[in-house]
Amino acid sequence: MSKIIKEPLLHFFLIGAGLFGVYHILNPRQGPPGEITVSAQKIAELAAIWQMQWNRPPTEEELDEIIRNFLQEEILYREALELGLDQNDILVRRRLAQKLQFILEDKIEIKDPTDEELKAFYDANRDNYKEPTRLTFQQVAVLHQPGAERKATEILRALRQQPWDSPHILGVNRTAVPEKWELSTREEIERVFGSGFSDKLLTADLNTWIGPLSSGLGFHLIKVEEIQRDAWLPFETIRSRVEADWREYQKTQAWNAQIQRMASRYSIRIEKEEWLKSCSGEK
Amino acid sequence: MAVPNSVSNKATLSRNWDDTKVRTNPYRNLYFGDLHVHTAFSADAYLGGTIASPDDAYRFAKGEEIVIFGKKVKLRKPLDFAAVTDHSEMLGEMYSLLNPEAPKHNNLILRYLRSIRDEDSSTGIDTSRQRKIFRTVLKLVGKGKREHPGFFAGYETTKTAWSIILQAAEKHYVPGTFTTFAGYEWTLTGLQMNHLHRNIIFRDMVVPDFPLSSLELKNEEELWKWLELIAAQGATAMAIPHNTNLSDGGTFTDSDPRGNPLTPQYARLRQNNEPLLEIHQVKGSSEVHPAFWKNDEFAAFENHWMFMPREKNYARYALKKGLEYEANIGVNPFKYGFIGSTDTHNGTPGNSEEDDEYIGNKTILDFFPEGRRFEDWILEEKQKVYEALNPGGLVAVWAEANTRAHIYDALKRKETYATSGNRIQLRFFAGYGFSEKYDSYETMLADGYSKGVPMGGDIAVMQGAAPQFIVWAMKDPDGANLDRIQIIKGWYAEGKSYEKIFNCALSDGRTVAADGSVPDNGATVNHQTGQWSKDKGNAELMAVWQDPEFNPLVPAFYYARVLEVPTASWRLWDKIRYGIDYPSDAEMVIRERAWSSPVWYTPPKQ
Repeated sequence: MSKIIKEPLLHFFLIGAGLFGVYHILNPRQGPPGEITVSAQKIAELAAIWQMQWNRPPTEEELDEIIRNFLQEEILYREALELGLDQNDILVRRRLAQKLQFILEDKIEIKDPTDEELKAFYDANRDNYKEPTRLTFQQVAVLHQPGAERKATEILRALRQQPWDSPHILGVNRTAVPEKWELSTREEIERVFGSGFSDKLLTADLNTWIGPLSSGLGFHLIKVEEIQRDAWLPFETIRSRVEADWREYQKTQAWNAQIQRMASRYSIRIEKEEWLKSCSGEK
Repeated sequence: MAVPNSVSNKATLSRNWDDTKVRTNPYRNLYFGDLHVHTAFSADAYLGGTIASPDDAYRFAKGEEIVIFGKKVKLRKPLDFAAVTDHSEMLGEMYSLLNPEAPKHNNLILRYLRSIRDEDSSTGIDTSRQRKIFRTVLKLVGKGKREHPGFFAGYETTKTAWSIILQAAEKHYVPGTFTTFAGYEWTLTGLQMNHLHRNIIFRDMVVPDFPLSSLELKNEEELWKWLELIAAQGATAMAIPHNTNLSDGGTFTDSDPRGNPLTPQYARLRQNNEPLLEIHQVKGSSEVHPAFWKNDEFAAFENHWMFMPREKNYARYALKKGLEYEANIGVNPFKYGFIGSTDTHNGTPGNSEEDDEYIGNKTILDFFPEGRRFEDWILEEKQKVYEALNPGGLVAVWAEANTRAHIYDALKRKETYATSGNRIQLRFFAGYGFSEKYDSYETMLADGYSKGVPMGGDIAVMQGAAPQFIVWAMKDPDGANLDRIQIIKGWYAEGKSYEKIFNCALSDGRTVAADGSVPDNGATVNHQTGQWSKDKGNAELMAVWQDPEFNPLVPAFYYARVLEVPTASWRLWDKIRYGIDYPSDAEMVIRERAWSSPVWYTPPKQ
């Protein structure tokens, strides 16, 4: 995209801001005047927020502007309420709901877990605490060329006939695909051989030359020597991670219970079936 | 500059990292990255509908899923490094716009701009309103004065935005695994809307309190002088120009910002601060343009046609011009290495695959297939078709390890290359006493480094000998096979510049004919399925080459260009998948490629 706003000509946007349409909503209205006090305490609060932002107290001039802004907001807020602008407004709705949620969430207290509790949690959620699968293997490559697959099959025969100290010399390319791979993750393997290649190695018999396996580069003969399958990380080494997850889980549980309690005060009716029926009727 | 801006170490998490313990490889590992990434902190990205944060961008680069325009997106293969480079112009203003607690947040203009958002629509944007606002803004752009607008709440806001960007870089840096850089874009735009933009990349977290933009540093010379000033206070940074194809001749200029001819001082200042050029990204390729390089049969590639094409906008012109300056004023101001990047405005670094289903990088403009066809969709000027060029490129770096220091230093010494978005591997060495051929990769590297210099280097002078070149390339395992490697030479002799393309390594056993031509290998692309020939081309290509026309008295540069066999462009994929209709002359089939940084030969001074 060409640079859209690079200049401060957005000054001119003040003209555009007329489009914003707030003006014609607020025709002067009748009725007794309300009362607004910007209390000393409120001013202290506003000044404190300002200080947090800027790391220094506001000057008097700045303070006046803060008060002016606050006052304007307060007036607009009251007028908006009077006009019922809070009704049917998805943002206001969401904001209020969120506000209460934050207050309630803050009130949830989680006591410190015992070792037994954590251990039990770890056992129940073991799959989350896994070391990635790692493979150790040797490979000989025959890169794309006419007859590559046939050549690879011949090499496989030779590899299976007798042990080789440097099996890669049988390969027909001065290739930069490494021969020896040690405890490599599937991601590391696929960076070189292409997406999906490591799947083929996971089902291989150990210490046996297999192939030819095709990749984006050509054909490969492979001897898988070790597969460390997504081993579980011992509890002791990741205790703090387990604890963090445990707290998160407890919090969610407590929150769900909280919502359940509040929901029990309402009689709730959901007209989903009716809606679904009306949809099928439309066809 | 009235506002104080000091340099200090702003590292937080990375203070605890000991990246000297990361294992290094003297023959260097290959790392792919993206050094041109915009997030919601960039005003144009936000107006395009982007809300991704710097944190989101780094998560995406590491292979995590994020949501853009209501759609879940994820990289196929994670990157090794990235830098978020938001526009420094309006950075503080964007902080005010985005953060409800910030001063001026409720400014009328900022509220007006925020009104493009509609959280209940599937994309998060009210597109008809956005279109209106876009058009209003575009009408205003270019008419204003270069200063901060009225709703700028002061440099404290710029500082806060900068600290959020730095925090994201700190949070995601994992030495040995994933590298982040402090960075930003200095976005000077000329009177004719020409791009003179530079990305600034820092080596570590010793950085200024806030980035200086083109509102403070009003031309490139002021920018370089500032970089030298902060260098004296401990900051290490470089500037990387990009989109020279849109610069209207303004990047590779014949005069300094005051209109005087270039001096050795100017050239040195430029060379010291700008080692690299970003030659490929979403707004097109800046290597060459077919209108000016009629003899380069592969020059037509993702070029920008609509916007001021001039010969002076292209990298090959600059490299040749650089030799001319070196001969005439003693210093080469345009001694550039090459990188690619995306210039994503979606917070999606490395999103450079042509056949992805979410390939756009220019916000909502090219997120949908219709938008990709009509870049000016937003303006409803649908006559300008196939202007949305490509999803952008990548930067490849050969470095000892994946840390900030190692990758930055490799960038600085130009041991880098650009790709058009794929992950071709490319090695390029120049030296003397190489073997005629190599049967082992390791021996080739040992010779390359001990008897020569890698890409980006200066070829040694050896009396009575012509330099040799090693070129080696391996295909992207998820991409197409390789068609050839070329070496492109430029030289300056007796007051004139010349260039020549040599086909050094050819696939399918082909050889160069006596007239210099190369027979076609018959590779094709199926226009119904998008599939390309898998049985043509090679996985690996290599050659040891010697310049048959070498003249030891003539300054020259050489760079390698690797071409894949033809594949489907995003246009063809959109046609196949969504039935998008393109005119017959649209670029439906492309040759993805990689460009090495050049090596230079400088004859001994007489």
